[in-house]
This record gives sequence, C-alpha cells and structure tokens, in this order.
Amino acid sequence: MIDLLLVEDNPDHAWIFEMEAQPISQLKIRVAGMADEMWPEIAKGIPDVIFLDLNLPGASGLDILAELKTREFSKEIPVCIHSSSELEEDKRKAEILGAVGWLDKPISTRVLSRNLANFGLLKGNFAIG
Amino acid sequence: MKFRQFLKGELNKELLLKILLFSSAITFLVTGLNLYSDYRADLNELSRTFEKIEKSYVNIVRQGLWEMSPKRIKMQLEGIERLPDIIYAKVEPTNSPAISVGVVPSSEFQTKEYPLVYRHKGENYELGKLIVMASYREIYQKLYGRALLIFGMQGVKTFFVSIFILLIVGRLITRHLETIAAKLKSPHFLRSKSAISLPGNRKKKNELDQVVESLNSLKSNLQNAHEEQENLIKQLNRRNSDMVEFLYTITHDLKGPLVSIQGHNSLMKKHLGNNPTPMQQELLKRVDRAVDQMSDQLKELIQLCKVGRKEFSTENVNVFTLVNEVIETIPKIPGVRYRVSRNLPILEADRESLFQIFQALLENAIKFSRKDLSPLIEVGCHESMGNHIFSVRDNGLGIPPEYHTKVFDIFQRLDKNPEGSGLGLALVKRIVESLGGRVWLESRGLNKGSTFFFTLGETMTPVLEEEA
Repeated sequence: MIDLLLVEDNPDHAWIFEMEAQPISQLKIRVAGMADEMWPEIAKGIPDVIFLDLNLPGASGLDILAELKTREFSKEIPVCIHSSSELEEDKRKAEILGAVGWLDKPISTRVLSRNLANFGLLKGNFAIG
Repeated sequence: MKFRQFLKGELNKELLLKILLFSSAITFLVTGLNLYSDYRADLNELSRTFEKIEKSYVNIVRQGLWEMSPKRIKMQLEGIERLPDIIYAKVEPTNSPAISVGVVPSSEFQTKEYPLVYRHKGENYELGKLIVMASYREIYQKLYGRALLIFGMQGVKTFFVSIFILLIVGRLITRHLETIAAKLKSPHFLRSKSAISLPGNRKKKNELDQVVESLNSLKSNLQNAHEEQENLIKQLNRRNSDMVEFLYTITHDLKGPLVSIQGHNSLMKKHLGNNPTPMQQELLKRVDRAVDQMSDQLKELIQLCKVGRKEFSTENVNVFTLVNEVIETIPKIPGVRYRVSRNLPILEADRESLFQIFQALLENAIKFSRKDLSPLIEVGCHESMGNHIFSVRDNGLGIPPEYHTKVFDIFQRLDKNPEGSGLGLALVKRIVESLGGRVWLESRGLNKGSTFFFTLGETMTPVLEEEA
C-alpha cells in the first residue's frame, strides 16, 4: 500500500482527488486541511508521498515545502505540488526547493497513476477502474 | 557693476540707441532754429549798416564830390570800409577818376549802389555813384563757429546724460532683472525653498518689487500644486498596486471553484460510464468548454496583473530565435504560414516580456484570420531613429479605424466570437508600456489585414550597436 498524504484546504478539491484516486487500489489517502493538521499526520506515520497545495490558509505551500525539506524526519519524503497556479516562478521555486513534481488541478486517475509510477511508488500492473 | 556690463545688456543697448537718436534729432532741430535766427539777425545788422551809410555817409560824400575834395571823399570811404562786414567802398564820379578803398571780394558778397545826386538851385546834378560791397564771409564763419560749438556741447551733454541714464537704469532696473532672470533660469528654482530677493535697500517698494512678489507667490503656488500632484500620483500608484493585488487575489480565488467544476465534470463523465446519452455528452462538452474559456481568461488576467508586479530583467535575446520558439507554442492550425524576417535583431531585453508580446500578437493574428484565405503572418523589424520597430502583419479580418485604440482596452472585443478572452492585446499594451515603449496598429479596414507595431523602451538597448 502507498501511503499518500494530501495537504488541501478546499474540500471539493480533496474530494475530487480522492475520487480520481479511488481506482488505484494500492493507494491509501490521508487528507490534511492545513499545515497545522499536516504535522500531526506525519507524526502518526511517515507517508510515502505528500501532495501539497500551494494556497493554504495561513501559509504558502512553498514555505511548507521548505520546512518539510529542512526537518530531519521529513526531508526524505517526496513532495509533489498539486496546484492550479499558472505562475512560472512558483514552478521554478518549487523545483529549487526540491519538489519531485508538479501536477495541475484537477488531477485525473491516469495522470496520478503515471506520476506515482514515475516517483517509483507504483510498480508493475495496477488496476485502473 | 562694470560699465561694460551695461553695454552688454540688450535693454541697455536699445536704450542707448534711442537716447542718442532722439537727442540728436532734438539737437539738430534746436541748433538749426538757433542758427537760422542768428543768420537773420546778422542779415538785419547788415541792412542796418547799409541804411546807416545812406543816412550819414552819402550826404558827406556827395558834398565832398560837389566841392571836389578827394581827400574828404577818401576819408569818408575809409570810414565806410571800417563798418562791420563792409570790405570795399568806391566812388565813381561822372567825369573824374574813381576813388576806392578796400579789396573787391571774390565771392559771397552783396553790392549796394547809392546814386549821388546834388540838388542846387532847384536843379539836380548827377555827380556819380557810391558803390559799397559787404562780404558774407564773416557772417558765415561766425555761423560755422556757432554750429560747431553748439554741436560739441550737445554731444558732450548727450554723452554724459546717456551714461547717467544707463547707470541709473542699470542700478534701478537692469541688474535686478538679471537677478530675477538668473533665479528663474536656475534648475533648482522650483525645488528650492528660498524666494527671490533683490539686493540693496528696498524699503520703498517699486514696480520691480511687485514683480518679485508676484513671482514668489507664483512659485509657492506652483510648488504647492506640484506637491499636491506628487501626492496624488503616489496615491494613485498605491491604489493601482492595491487594485492589481486585489485583482490577482480574486483571480486566484476564482480558480478554486473553477477547478472544482472541472474535476466534478470529469468525474461525472467517468460516472456515466461507456454509454452516456447524446444529451449527457453535449452537456459535459459544454461545461468543459465554458470552464476552458474561463480558465483562459483567468490565466491572462493573472498575466496582466503580473506585468504590474514584475521587475524586468535584461539578457541578450535573439529575437529571431525567440519568435520561432513562440510559434512552436501556438497550436498548429492547418494552412497557417509564418514568415519571420531575418532582420530581427539581437538585443538586451526582458526575454519573458518579449515572448509574451509576440505570443499575444501571433495568437491575435490567428484568431482574427479570414475563413476564405489561408492565414499568412509576417514578423519583421525596422529601425527608425535608433529605435527598433517590430511588426506583426496578417492578412486577416482587419480592424476599422475607429477601433484602432479601443482594441488595446481590457476585455474589448470586436466580435461576438466567444473564443479568446479579449485580454491579449491589453496584455501587449501593458507590457510594452511598462517597458517604456509604444504599441499601435495600421489596418486598411475590413478584410484588408492589419499590422501591429511596437517599440521597446530604453531598457532594451541593441547589443549590436554597442559592439559597433
């Protein structure tokens, strides 16, 4: 099972993500609505991958990314940005800060599974509903 | 103040010239009248002398002639000759030789003849005549001397009066005018706090002080207006950047629900499975289309906001390569041809801005192409007064003249074509203008195609020119 932590404040977006992810049977998704909910989730168990929104209440996704990458226990976790931002500079900054990827919203099952495979998390054949 | 300085001022030169002209005219007139009256007086004097001769000498000469006494005649002639201006006197008796005194003048003389008739016992005897000659020479010489003296004195007087007037005018007016002019000319005048003040004791206020007072109040009014203007500009800039910030936030916030609609729609598609009804398919397609349209608009709005927030960087840009890269990003449409001029320069410019400008212009050209003609888009550049003028020409629908400035307005669209956001050209204008350049278009009207031109600001100096 892949343990995916989605940091997303918009419930619609989180719901869409979960629905699109549903067909991928090897995936278990946890959702954190904001940074303050993310850290306890990580504390419960280090996720295999974090999908991070950029516009979060109280903090920018890029700041959270930077913090994730500086903390000892979390810096090895691959982080993929999941945003609707069109700003080239956001993409550049995310890359510099060490994000493994960038997926535009809304995500589709196909794109999600392909990227999880790219990150080395999904191997072999998997079911797509 | 030095005397030479007076003569330098235009005002002084003019003043001096006018004084001299006027004074000379007056001198000529007065001297002329003066000399004329002197001349008349001298002539009168001469005619009085002739009268005197007639009254006192003629009788004695006649008597002498009657008595045949040449000695007596000569004595009388000598007496006549000594009278003023008389230089020659002669008696011509009828039947004896003439007796004369003095020299006959060669020119400028007057001759007077007196018949010598002796009345004796009721009978008149013609004894001869007395001829007297007077010379004008002395009168003329006197007049010349007079004229010279008067002119000389007038000249000296005019000279001193002129200098005096110049000194006075210089002290009272010209030097102050120069002070005022120098102050006004100084580039710091409007910025400095100090008012104009005239040197010297200015207890009695004259017209110059009034001028200075008016200028000073004008200056402070101007300064106040300027300050007010600066404040307004600052306020406007602040408001403007607030607005841009606000627009940016809103645009971004609007994206959230849009993404939700998009996501829900694709989940709906999936949920309907393999056999959606045609109506369901149509509805899904329409939602997608609406979402795409709004998504494009938001994208361009964000770009528009970014122009206001962005700081430009410069790097060497090969515009030819850049335009070809832009063409790569534009969705391929069959039949569209591009012609990119080899003239496109290499310049120091903000690459991203240039990219966005060409992208928007090329997309615009394709969007408004004619249905019946395969689109041909030409990108070129020419130089005018050291400025590069870039052009994007199409053979499309063309733009009527009344829309030539309107097309650059935000959300302005000339047709009901739902494609496009109406922001592309507004974006071009905004970028070009924030670079300090200008954008405009030429079009001969409907179906005649249009050409968009733009220049870049000073921040974009051609690299090639620097090397040359």
